[in-house]
Amino acid sequence: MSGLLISALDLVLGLLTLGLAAATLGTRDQARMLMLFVTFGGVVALLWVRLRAPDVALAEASIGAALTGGLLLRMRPMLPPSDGNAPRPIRALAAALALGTFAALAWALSLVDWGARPSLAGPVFERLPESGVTNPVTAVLLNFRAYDTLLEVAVLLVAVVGVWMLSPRAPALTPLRDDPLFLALLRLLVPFLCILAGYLLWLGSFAPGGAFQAGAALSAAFLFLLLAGVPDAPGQADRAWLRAALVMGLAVFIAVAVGVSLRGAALLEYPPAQAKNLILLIEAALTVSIALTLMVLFQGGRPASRDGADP
Amino acid sequence: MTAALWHALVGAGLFSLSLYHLIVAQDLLRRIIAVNLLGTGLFVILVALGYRGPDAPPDPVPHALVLTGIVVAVSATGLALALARRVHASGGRSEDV
Repeated sequence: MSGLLISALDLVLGLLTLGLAAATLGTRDQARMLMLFVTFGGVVALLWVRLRAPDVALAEASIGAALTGGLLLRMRPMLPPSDGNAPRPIRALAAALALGTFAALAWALSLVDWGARPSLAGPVFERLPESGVTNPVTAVLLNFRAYDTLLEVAVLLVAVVGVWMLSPRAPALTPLRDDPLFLALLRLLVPFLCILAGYLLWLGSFAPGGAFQAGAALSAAFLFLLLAGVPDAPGQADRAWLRAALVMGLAVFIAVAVGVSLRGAALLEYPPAQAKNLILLIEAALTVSIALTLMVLFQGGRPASRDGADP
Repeated sequence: MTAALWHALVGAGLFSLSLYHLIVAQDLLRRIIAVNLLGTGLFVILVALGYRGPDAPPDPVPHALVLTGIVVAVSATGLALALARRVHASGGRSEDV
């Protein structure tokens, strides 16, 4: 049991996580709040590594910290702060509710038998050879519980549609066209990020990685091009191919689901011989759609169509 | 106390702290951040429940759930920011929301 005992590193990481969260939510200054939020994401990524969840750590660092932070920083100038506190009785009630919630959660967690609690690790590892991949997280995401991921991709698409409808014109962005250092950096970074995306996509079948991490890396490349003001870079104009690419991940996923069910299998029950190819096909389509989805969310609205005219 | 229980308690603390600020905050941006931190608290509890110590492989199912959760959280954040901008653009104050 000595290996299960809490170490100093775990103690420090946990306290740092809580402290950063308290500082993020407690500070009055919006800019400081956002910087602390990004730092918090970085520390939580370390926490995931400590909990032996490297797939989650990659997603947290790229999506949870970097892209969410970028999204918030981009929108901050359009959201003037409104200071002022909730009335005292409400604050007291909220504090009581929060403390009660913590007490209830802590009580429930202390009742868990941490030595022998039910786990799905056994069944997952037992059926892993049939899944077509050897990374158990990818096997769960794209084979055993693939319909969760299918619906998640639908959620992403709904979010894009919602943002486009709420904001038919994306707020203007001043490009950093004149900064020679930034442009020189881009020449190195953009090809590197594209290769990284392909690498993470391939890696996902046997090591931590996969479509979401790859999509985040690819969207970072697109975002750099957007920030640099490179004309005709992907996702900067509302064209038919952009809409098609946004829907592609979901469409390919549904096509595979329907395809295998036409051959008599259950929904998304891949034939084991083809499982790896089907998973990679879905993941490749997802990578492109996720990258463009994150890019469109960052823009905060529908980009102008090609000629700049309002449709 | 085991490492898993400690991290689960950190997650519970994160959840409760964010819940308080979510209710109390008047600023829409701060509320959106509070929701994000609240979700992270839940993710930490979930992954801690799947942790089996440094030698045994962890349960991959909570990891897949949390990965899904992180991606859904960023799309929800994007939508929430668009809604918040709409509130400000239409002259509404955060206090009315």
